[in-house]
Amino acid sequence: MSDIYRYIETIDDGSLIFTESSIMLPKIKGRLLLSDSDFKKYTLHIKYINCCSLNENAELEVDSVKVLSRRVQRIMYDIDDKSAELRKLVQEAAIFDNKEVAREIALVIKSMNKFLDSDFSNITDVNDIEQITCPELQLDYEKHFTNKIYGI
Amino acid sequence: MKNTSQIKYTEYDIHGKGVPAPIHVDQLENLLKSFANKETYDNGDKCNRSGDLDPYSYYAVNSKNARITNDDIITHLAPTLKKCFPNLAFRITGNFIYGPGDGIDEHTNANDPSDVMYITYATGKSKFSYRYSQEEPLIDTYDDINGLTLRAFTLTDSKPFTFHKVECETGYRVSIGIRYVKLF
Repeated sequence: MSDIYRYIETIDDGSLIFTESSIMLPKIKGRLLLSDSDFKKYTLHIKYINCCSLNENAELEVDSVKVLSRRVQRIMYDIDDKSAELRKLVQEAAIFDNKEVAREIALVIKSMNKFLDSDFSNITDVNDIEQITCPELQLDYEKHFTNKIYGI
Repeated sequence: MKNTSQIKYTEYDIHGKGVPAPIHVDQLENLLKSFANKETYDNGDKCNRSGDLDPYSYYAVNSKNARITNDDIITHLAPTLKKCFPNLAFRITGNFIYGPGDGIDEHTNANDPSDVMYITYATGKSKFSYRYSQEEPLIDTYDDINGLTLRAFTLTDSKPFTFHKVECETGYRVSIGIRYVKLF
């Protein structure tokens, strides 16, 4: 099995990209070779490479505010998706005239939207930011409410 | 590490960052208490795994317990946790009911590193044990009997891992795990 060389590289517009190569690339300014331990250490930085920069010591630095913004945006998308699925179930509940289930689903959607009003500004550690989540996103409401609507 | 002085539960601040304090402790206790019985255990989804002990495994190789159902999590558990911990962003990652003789052997959960809290209600003798190295002895922390016990610790994806295990000798032990981040 061949070795994999991993790099953080500065591209023309000044932003960073993460690349992997099966051959060792020449050393140039703005190209940082990652050791295995660097790669492990920088896993989250690489995930959010667009929020990173190289400092004067050629070390990778992450802008936690940008990461937070992206994380919250991701959660927003996930909540939108989950809400769309749940809204379909509201319609199904309405077909069966099950107002109670429709009300319960509406509460879940409201609760998820309320989560987005939370103040996340105290969370500055990237590892912690990555852990931010809305509890409802992990729960299988679809199964729960489908069972309720169809009595199964 | 153990603090029972002013609050109605026992806490173990294993990671040293403080144990998130629940509000509406009574509601939390009553809910977990309502799960800590033979009927809920018998109706729960069963988990019964066995094999050669590997403390470095992400999940316990040997595990015997039941799980609180999805319906109960959605209807009762999640809303109560949200109400009790408004200062946390969390996800529920453990919903165990251990019966007499049940347990879960040493593992790391190193595939999902984060701060974690387990909220436990036990009706008999049970304990949670941990250590940071296989060369060290396990540190036992015992559950309150007929009361709440909260433990907060950190799971890491590299050494030192937090090896941990649970043994329920008698009674029923409900244990709810959350991965959390403090909002304030």
